[in-house]
Amino acid sequence: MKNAARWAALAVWLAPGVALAAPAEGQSAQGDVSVTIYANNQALVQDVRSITFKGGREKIEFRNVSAQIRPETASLVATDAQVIEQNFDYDLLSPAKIMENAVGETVTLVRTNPANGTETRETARILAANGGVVLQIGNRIEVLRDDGLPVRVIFDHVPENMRADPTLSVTVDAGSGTRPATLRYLTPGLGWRADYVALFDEAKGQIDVQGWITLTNNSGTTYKNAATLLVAGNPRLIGQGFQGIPTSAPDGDATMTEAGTESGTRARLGDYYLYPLAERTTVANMQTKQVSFLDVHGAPASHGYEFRLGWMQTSEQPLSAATVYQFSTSGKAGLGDQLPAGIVRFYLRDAKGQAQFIGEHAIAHTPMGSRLSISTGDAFDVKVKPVVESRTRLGNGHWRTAMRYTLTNALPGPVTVRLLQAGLWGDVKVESESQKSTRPEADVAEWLVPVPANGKVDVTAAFDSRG
Amino acid sequence: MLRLAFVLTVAASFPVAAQEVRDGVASAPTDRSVTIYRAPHRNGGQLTLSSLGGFAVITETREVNLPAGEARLAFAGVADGIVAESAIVSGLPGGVIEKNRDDALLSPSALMHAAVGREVALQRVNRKTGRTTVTAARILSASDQGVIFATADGNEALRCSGLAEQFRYSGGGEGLFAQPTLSVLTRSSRPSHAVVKLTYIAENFDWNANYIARIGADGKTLNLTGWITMANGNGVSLANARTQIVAGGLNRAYLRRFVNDQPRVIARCWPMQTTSDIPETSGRPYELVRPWLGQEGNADRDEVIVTARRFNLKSPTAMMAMPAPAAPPPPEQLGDLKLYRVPERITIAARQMKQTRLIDQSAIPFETYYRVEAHLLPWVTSAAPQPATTMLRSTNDLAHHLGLPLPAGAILVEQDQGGQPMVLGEPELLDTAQDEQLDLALGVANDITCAWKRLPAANGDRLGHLVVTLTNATTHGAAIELRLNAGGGWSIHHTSVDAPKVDGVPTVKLTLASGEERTIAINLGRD
Repeated sequence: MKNAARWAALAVWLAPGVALAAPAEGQSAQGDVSVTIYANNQALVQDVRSITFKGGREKIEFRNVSAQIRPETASLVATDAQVIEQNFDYDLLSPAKIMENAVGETVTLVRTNPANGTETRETARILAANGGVVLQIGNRIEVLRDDGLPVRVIFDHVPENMRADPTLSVTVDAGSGTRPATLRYLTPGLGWRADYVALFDEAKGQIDVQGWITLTNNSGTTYKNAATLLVAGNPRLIGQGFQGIPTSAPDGDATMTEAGTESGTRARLGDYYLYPLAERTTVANMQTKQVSFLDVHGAPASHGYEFRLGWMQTSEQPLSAATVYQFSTSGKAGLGDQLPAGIVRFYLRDAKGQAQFIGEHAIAHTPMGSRLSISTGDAFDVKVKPVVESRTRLGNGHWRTAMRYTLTNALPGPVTVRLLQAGLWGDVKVESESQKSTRPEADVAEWLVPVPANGKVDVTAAFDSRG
Repeated sequence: MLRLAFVLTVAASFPVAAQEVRDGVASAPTDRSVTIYRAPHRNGGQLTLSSLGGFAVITETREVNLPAGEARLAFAGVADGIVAESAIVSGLPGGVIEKNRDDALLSPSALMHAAVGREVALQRVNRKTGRTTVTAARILSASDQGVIFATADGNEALRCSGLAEQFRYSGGGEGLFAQPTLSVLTRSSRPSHAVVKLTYIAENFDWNANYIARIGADGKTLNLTGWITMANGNGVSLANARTQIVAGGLNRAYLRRFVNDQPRVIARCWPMQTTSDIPETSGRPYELVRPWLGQEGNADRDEVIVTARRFNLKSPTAMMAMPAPAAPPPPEQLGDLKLYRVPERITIAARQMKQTRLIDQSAIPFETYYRVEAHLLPWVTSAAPQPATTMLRSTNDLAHHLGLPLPAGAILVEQDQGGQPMVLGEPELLDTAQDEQLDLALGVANDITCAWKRLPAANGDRLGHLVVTLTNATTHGAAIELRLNAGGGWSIHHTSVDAPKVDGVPTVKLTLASGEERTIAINLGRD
């Protein structure tokens, strides 16, 4: 990818060579680039280029800016230079465009004799390029290639404002001399999130967590040897509506059971955390780059089961409980860091010691000191079969619903299942129950049910509801 | 493809000057382990090679020679479905500074796009004489709108003159890869040899469990065989790999992934209508001439489908011919999932489905019964006779010669009829743990019916008086489970035979002799 960058730089360096009668001499590839990337697919690019000013008014072209640059955010700062006008040109040079622009001008035609290959040259004026090309040669008028025979059309120049790449041009009034100029702009197409590798050790009740920053560049441009800073935060930007599935920073649906109150040692910017990359790096176009930022060994973690029933219903088939892993991001008994939004992938060692993947979950930006409870999937051997035993009308809109939950455990060891009956809206009371429940939320009843090894436990409850 | 990637990466290592980063190539995998996971939420059903929703975790052991200082290690030949951000590299003495995955692939478009602004050779061939002329040219612009280049004569458009012309590029396709490539930046204090393990998630795999239950001659026991079908939808073959599959539902998090949309270059021309052309259509001032079909991106897609079809056609015969290997040992507990190890190393070729034995259990006692769902609605006068459902019941425990985890899948239930196995039904099985009951619906039994009608209310009471009629036209006695569902605020107040609740529904269990008809009186009451 470094070569890709060199390649792109080479392309830019060579591009103006032949026929572009560019007015400015100050063309340059990227200079000293720093990129600040936000979690919501936005980046601030700063490009310090060394520019030789001729003195007075001149137009300076900046090639190799992001192909998705938001030109209204671009700013150029240099000592003894005043910006007069800023343009962003992307009039793509193409055969149709060059022909349209040549209307009224003179071109050279090279005809090739199909029989013997001899070439004859003549000069023609293009009268029109509507549908087909109409030419004037001397005092006769002809349609280009009407006879289907080979004719080369040679244009002596390329229109000045037409380019192969998007180009930012700035007209400045500056004193002469060579000095650095700082170009700054916002661009979408660069984003990042975190990816975590969590290796859980059941026997020790511990977890090893590695955090990686995953950076993606789809901005259409390679940033060479850039000082890169990642900002954990989604600054609100005008014109950024809801975009469906998040591109980089996931929300993490309810994995944080308790938000933390500890402050980390990481650098901050306003309310955002900063993750500078230790070394300069080349962020190539169409590249996914990962850099490590967290490596914690032996943090305490636990493994449990949770079953949440959305409303009072019967299931003919037993339903799997969710496997849940819990750990803290606290400094004392946890990972000791805040976690930028991303995906946590869980691994376990199999009997032969090889790490095997057991499921993943998205997490949101998580402060230090938080408790996380992350579900990795369904438990094969721990199941709950809910049954509505009876539903009796006690009065107008007043019902009694008797539920039975059969919890089964096909594992050789005992487990405890956190059984949650949700959907208790309105004034729902637990009238009677086989074991004591708690109400963590208004519409949820919770039982902690120990299920013996290879065993079965019934929990029954009667709910009295009005509404 | 593999070799090309290798050559390119090596070629790319020469012109490095500015940075002290050496390029290295990891060896081809010396050992491979593949763990295949099924598509989340897919319980059974067909596998289609062209759209596999599952994934695999692949661990490759590779050898590398590291120079002193910084080195960029390329891992060629990883599965094309790789989820780059899931890659874990271990075994590098200097650790990992950064991991990169490049999607800039070598293609005609990419080659020309990368050559913009660069010196290329323009080659023209005289169609008549075959004489070739080569001119130096510089590409000024290359896009899906056409290509403009400059020569010493001036500026021209590619493929607009009617001459046979093309560019020749010098050097290798620098920075462009034959396949998406994963590379790692590492630092080593001295030259060393290392054995590196690369673990990553790759999409476009899947597996399925398929069971065949053959009912024995006694009609009371069955033999259950299970097959695992593994599918690799990737273009990379996993040769001689230790193979595992994982059963159980696991959670996946999906983010929008950027598609690999490289800019396409199409040599279009200016308006090229002549006096012999059809009149202009309104709304479109001119027709663009496309000397090249702009489809180079889809070129290999057709090939993929062809290959997939070929394998699809092959697989049933392959299944028949394959000698039944021994069933693997019972699965290993992996957290709350089940890990099956395929006993021998196997090769899962690119775009291939492969089968291996999952279980082989014989003489499993079972019982059949007929399930009737009666939905009793007192405001309806009568319900016409409804057929019953044939059910097969057993328990997944040792007493029934089972007692092992059964991953979700379809069970083909067969019975011999004149020496020919006939299919009775193909019920779906969910992930079934030890000691769970198997309750499988085989199909409709039209000879066993259930009808009901409402009788006139007696003395104006507010109960619904219903009569349910069950009939058996089969040649054998039939065990029937009649489930009495009452809804809409009504409930079963009284039944003429005992109806204890099963799963919250009053259920009558009885046996009808061949040709018997039986009636059951039911009172429905308003709650």
